[in-house]
Amino acid sequence: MITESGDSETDTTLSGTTYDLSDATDVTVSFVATKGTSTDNVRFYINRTLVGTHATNVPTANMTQAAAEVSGNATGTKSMSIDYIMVAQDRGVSY
Amino acid sequence: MANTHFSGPVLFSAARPTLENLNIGSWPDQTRFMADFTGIVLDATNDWTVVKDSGASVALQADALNGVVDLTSAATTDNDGSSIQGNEIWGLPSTAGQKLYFEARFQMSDADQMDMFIGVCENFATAPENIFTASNRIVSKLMMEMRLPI
Repeated sequence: MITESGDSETDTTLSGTTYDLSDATDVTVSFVATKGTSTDNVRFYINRTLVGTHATNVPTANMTQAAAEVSGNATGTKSMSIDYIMVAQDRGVSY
Repeated sequence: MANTHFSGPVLFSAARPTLENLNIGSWPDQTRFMADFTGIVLDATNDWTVVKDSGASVALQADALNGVVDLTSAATTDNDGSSIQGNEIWGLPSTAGQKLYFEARFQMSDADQMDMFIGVCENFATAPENIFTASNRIVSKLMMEMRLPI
């Protein structure tokens, strides 16, 4: 899990092997970033289960949804298959 | 307040903890984007910016259940890849208590021999691996090799 703001990064690796990816097996990853009164936070989920929270280096810049894959060796053909991407945000208005 | 009996992403529902405060249906106080990749051809002009190496590809699977996009590296080539991105329209709301939500479902063909990114970041150009060095980002990378810089 990574949050990075202005090149300052918080990177958490989950312990154990529970959340290791398996080849050709779908996984659902999610996060919810919340604007706080004093501290912002991001809650990370894997398969809809909360796996960790970051409260440092939560970016405030505008960002895009994105996905990328890069091969790690020269054997075979590597691919990332994406079923869906969903993004939503509260508009920031109050009445 | 008791939980609702509705299992979807409805306000105060605990059945989908990731999305418990995400409204359903049309709700003008939230901006929402959903890519199910259900088309015939990925729209790399209006919907997505594709940044990839020359031998890599980004393409929708034909007749895949629910719709799927494949990001594929050139065969038998190390450090080759592809990426998709949109516009920088997402960010942490300015009002306390308000939220930014992200979710994606995907799979990797060779999980421990690939680098991957899925989340939100600033726009990047030129090469797909530049996504890994974006200055602002929120990303799930799970447990796999991440080679930074590549």
